[in-house]
Amino acid sequence: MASNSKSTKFSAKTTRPAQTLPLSLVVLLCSFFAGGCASSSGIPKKPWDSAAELKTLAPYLTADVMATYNSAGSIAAKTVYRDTVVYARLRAIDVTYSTFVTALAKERNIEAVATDTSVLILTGTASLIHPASTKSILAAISGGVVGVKGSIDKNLFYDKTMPVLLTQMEALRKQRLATILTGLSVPADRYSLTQALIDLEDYFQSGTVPYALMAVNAESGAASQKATKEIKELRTFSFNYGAAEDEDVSTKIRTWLLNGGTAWDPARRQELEGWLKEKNVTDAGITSFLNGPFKTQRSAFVTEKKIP
Amino acid sequence: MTKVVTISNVPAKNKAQVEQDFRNEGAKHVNSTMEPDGEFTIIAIFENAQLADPKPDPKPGPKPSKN
Repeated sequence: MASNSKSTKFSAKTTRPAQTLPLSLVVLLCSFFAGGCASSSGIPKKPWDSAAELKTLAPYLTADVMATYNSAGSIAAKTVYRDTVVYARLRAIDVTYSTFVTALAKERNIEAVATDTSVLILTGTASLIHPASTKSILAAISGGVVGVKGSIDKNLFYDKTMPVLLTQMEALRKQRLATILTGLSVPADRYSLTQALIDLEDYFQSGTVPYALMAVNAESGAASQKATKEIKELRTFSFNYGAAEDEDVSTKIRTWLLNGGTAWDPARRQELEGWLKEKNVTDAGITSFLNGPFKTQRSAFVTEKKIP
Repeated sequence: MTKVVTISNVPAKNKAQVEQDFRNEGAKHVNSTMEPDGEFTIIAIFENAQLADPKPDPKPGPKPSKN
């Protein structure tokens, strides 16, 4: 009986630390995940509040900027407003990009340290504790942590892939920024806010992992395409029929293009494209010609080609 | 070669026609967004577009003589 009683007491004493140890480990891990080792990311804390800065930019991040731009009146006023919106959005994108990169660095360092440490502590602790049930609990926790780490294989991703992608993102962002800044050097009638918003979207996308992955894939598989010059053209027009009779002129040209079919007749399409080039009307294509500010030229085409 | 063409201020009644024109022309993607005033901006993306002589800006051609 005495022996049993002693055994019971011993058992009670040894199970208590087994119940409290995991809690202390949880606290230790939580301190890692809560940023207790911020310096391990290699990125110092920013001296200003990014969220507060984004709030000050909010008026230029709304969907109604186009309406304000369109109502600005003169080209000069539109140019000033365009520049304000674009610079505000550039800054907003930079702030979110910086936050994203910082989070990546923290995630990589904290997660690697915390996971590896927890594996060592948990497996090490299990070997020091006698009751089999406690050992199996700790071993199970340890196995779970290792399992998660192994299944995602994040170390490989962060060590090998992420630096390449970040370099790619930086290069793409610089290219897009150059495009935007070049655009801002001319008045709004030559680089409209619409065009700038398209380029800003590109600038934002350049700082994303999927976009960088696509770029890396494209580059790695396209060494032979170096000689192929990619030309990206942006053309922006305002819809312009003017009067109802002008809409009729466009309709006449469409009917002529269809030539009784459901798709544009290739020969007539070629004829129209040749005419547009010969007359130096536009290189933006037939749709722009049919719907853009080319009222006089549309009438001239109908007259010249004797389109009924 | 990629060409992006945007036509803004398209009235709702003309939206479908402009989209169809872009498709007839061979656009790979055609997207429309409604402007605050109810009109539409239609964006078309052409892949492998053939641009004869890229010019810095679209210019209206010479006006035909009315005389």
